[in-house]
Amino acid sequence: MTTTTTTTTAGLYDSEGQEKNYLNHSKGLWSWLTTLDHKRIGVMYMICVLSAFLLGGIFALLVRTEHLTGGETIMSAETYNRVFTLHGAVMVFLFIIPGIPAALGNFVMPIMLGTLDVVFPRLNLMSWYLWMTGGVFFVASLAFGGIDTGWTFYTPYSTTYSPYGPAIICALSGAFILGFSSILTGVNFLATMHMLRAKGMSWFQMPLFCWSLYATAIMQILATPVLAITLLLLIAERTLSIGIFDPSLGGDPVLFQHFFWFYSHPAVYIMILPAMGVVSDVIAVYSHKHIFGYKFIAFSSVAIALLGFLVWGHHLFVSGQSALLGTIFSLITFSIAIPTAIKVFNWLATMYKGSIDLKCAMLYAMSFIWVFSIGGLTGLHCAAIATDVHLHDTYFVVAHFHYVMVGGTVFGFLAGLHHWWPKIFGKMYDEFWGLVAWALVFIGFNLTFFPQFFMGAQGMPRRYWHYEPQFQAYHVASTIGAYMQGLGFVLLAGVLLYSLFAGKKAPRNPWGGTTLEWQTTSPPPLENFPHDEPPIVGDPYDFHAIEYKEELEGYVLVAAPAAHDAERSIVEEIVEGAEADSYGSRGN
Amino acid sequence: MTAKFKFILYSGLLLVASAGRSALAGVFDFMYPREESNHASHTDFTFDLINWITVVSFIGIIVVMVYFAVRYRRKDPHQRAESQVSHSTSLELVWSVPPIIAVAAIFWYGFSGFVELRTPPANCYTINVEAYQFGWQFTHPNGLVETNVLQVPAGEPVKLVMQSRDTIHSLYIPAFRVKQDVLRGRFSMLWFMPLHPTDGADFDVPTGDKLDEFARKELARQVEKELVGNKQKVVESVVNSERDKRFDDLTKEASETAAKQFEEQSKAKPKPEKPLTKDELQAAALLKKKQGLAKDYQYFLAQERGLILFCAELCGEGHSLMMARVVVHTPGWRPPAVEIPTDPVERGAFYFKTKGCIACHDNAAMAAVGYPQMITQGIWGKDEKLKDGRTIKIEGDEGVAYLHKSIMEPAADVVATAPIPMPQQQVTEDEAKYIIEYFKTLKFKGN
Repeated sequence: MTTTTTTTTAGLYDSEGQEKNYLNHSKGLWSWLTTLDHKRIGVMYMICVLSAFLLGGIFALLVRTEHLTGGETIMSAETYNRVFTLHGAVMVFLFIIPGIPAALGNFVMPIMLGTLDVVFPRLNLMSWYLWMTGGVFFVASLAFGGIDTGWTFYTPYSTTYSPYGPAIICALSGAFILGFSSILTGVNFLATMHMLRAKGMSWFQMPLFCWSLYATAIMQILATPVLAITLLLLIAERTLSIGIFDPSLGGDPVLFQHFFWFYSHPAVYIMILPAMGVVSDVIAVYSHKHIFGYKFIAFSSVAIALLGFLVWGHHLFVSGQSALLGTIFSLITFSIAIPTAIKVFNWLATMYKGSIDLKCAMLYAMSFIWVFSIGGLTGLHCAAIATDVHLHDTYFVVAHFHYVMVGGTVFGFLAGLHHWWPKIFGKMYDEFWGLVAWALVFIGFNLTFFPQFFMGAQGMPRRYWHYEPQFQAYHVASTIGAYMQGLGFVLLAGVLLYSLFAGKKAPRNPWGGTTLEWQTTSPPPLENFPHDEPPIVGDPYDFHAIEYKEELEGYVLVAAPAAHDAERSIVEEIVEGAEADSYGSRGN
Repeated sequence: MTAKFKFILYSGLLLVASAGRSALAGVFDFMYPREESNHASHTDFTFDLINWITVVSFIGIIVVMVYFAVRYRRKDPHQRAESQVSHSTSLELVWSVPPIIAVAAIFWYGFSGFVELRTPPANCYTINVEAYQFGWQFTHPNGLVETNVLQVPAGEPVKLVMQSRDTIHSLYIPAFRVKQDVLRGRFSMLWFMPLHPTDGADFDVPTGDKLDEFARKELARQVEKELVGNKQKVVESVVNSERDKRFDDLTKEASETAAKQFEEQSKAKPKPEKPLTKDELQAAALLKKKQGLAKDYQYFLAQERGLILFCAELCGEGHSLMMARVVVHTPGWRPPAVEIPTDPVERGAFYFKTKGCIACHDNAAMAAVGYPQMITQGIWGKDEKLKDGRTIKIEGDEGVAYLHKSIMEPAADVVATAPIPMPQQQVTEDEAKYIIEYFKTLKFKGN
């Protein structure tokens, strides 16, 4: 392989000399709404989930504003319950769960595998339409007055006592449909990784982002149907008074909590694993160093996915579940801490003796380590039963899961967004203003949620419209942090959107990435790779193979990446033997 | 190693350990509420342990990360990484060990504390708790029923046996480090031993005879001052306003009864040598009022100083106002005797209220699903349709017999509209008779 990789241009330009890519190969809204291209579907997902993030964020700011004083500040208790419920439900179901896999994963994963598209492109489009339908149901529940049950829909409040029946049924239907969107995406990704890896790409040459999507897909497929059934039962109880969860009809309300968390705890890992995948890739790329402990990271994703199914009962320590059950769930929960800790150590070891470039994406990835460490370590307080009895349903838990979910998913998402933005839209954003936005978001985030640990430890219950005067200082600090974050996100959106109009054209590989998406043009052509330049497969983290070129302001591949065959294990041989026939059956 | 050396070594280690413990123990105290129960110290010790593990690990991770980011920062785009080391199985196994040890220790402390939380001693002072939208009702063993005030003795184990009338609630007393969900249709339990009596909970109120003129004036001044203060609080806080209203009602009630009693007493007296003047009468009434106020005010203060009790499970719009106060009394305290009314009807009403009947039979939500509502709809004279198709006229001896059977054998003759039969109740034959006497006064108001 020589340095001539970037000089071939055949097939990349149309007759007018305009570069052809997936964005401009066809025009008009209809061409987007009927597209089967995973990249366009990814972009459509991105627009939608970010709109949901905006909506959820507005609700969050309303909640924080309400908490400037105890009692009524801007809204009544009734309104408050509806606003915080919508904040949680919109953020969880419409943004965090689909965020990274459906938006970034859809765009990046097939290119990382060196293939043309996902294995079922029509199913992919259908899952986007299901997402839209679910989203419409959610927004429609607002028209029915909104839901006031919390995003957890606990029974019997949701089935009998809440005055917002129609809105609850509407939102449940929305969550039900969104579940199918999630399942279809999972099936599609799983099949794609099995069937369509580029010729010669072994399982252990997949980038770690793909591994994390693989683990996520397993959970989406196995856990989401349970939620779907649970929500249907809830709708049946609410509309037909069938006694399943309501004790006055002979049902069991704790059963609902078991069903609900059987999905929703794995869902926490559906939210965090893709972010971990993004961070693994981003840290390797911006350190220009081979990821440390590839297999440990890959297998810890799978371990977390499997163990994640066995810990749901730690949400029920004080609900009335038996003490023995509580103890077992506590023990398994602690076992999940270990693969998680290993991942953090691996990321740090990747940075060791690297060549670290503190670009926006790397700062978000390092912020991820910061917030996720706090979120993960405070998980210890919640997993130890004696302390959890005190902390359950207080602001400590609120702070803990915001550090994990917002810290984890949002910072991971933003790291990925900044990392792949030049690839997706072919434009470079302004690093300086991106950095300012990062600082606002990072400091604002910590200011918002760190005080909540102290509040919660002192006994401030969550979902409280009114609070005792002793908590006011913490609440005010938290609200100031929230405004700061809001400002940061507005600036961030401005920086990225501005780049679309005035940004410099992005080179193929501005950051020195070694995974396959950096071998193609920015933005990629419809077929993902130029006709005459099939992707060159090898070790996804071989940084010997790239070199910086001033004239391109980017990196180029100067040698074929190492094959790393020496490291293959027996298991790998067996897995690949079974898969050998299916390699590259559609890709290139 | 000589025995002497061993002794010095071990005692030295012990000294260092205990010094370290006491130096480190207090660091996180600002995070916790006061330690007011037997469970608190174990929970806080576990909390301290996890906090230290958290702080040390977090600082370690961040220091390493920031150091690497600075030390290995790329200054020139051509700069390559100094190393491309990709794995080290031994290192990865070694660094898995500290997290395993840490989580094992934390699990153990969390578990042992939990075992204690879930294992009440045999000789507990047991209080029945009923949670409802949006309040708490506490029933003492002697029949004393109180709303939103939980009175307990210090220094002895107290067990709460809890049930909900409607949706799920959760009883949470931060200072005791206890929390347990409260559900309809099943009993949940928690226990604790309060450590310190609340200030002023058992204040001995001076009676009128023992007060001199100065003390009377001083008391009146204080009470009025506090009352004005309370009026200002009304504006400040929604929660306080409810409590203040209660206080105002109490004071009003106290002064009225005092004046009434005094009047009756003076009437009953066999002709006083010299009739009391109007001024004297007023002065006496005022004194009574102040005494009542002083007593109520002490109670009010004890409540204000009492430990806060929250509902921790979202239960509707009044969720954040569903609070109660825990007043801890001096060791050995028992609630004042409950005066059971002597009038049969009043006595029946008393049992109807205190035996938990009203949880379903005076509750709008329960009315909606079809349970009979004795107070709002009436019962005496009603044609009751039963599940087996019969209709019973609740009147005369037949009505009494039906009501008696329904109270004592809830599974028999269930009304047609009730979704599930009533659970077995803790009602004696005698009490059932009084309840029926009460029902006779509740005339059916028609469908």
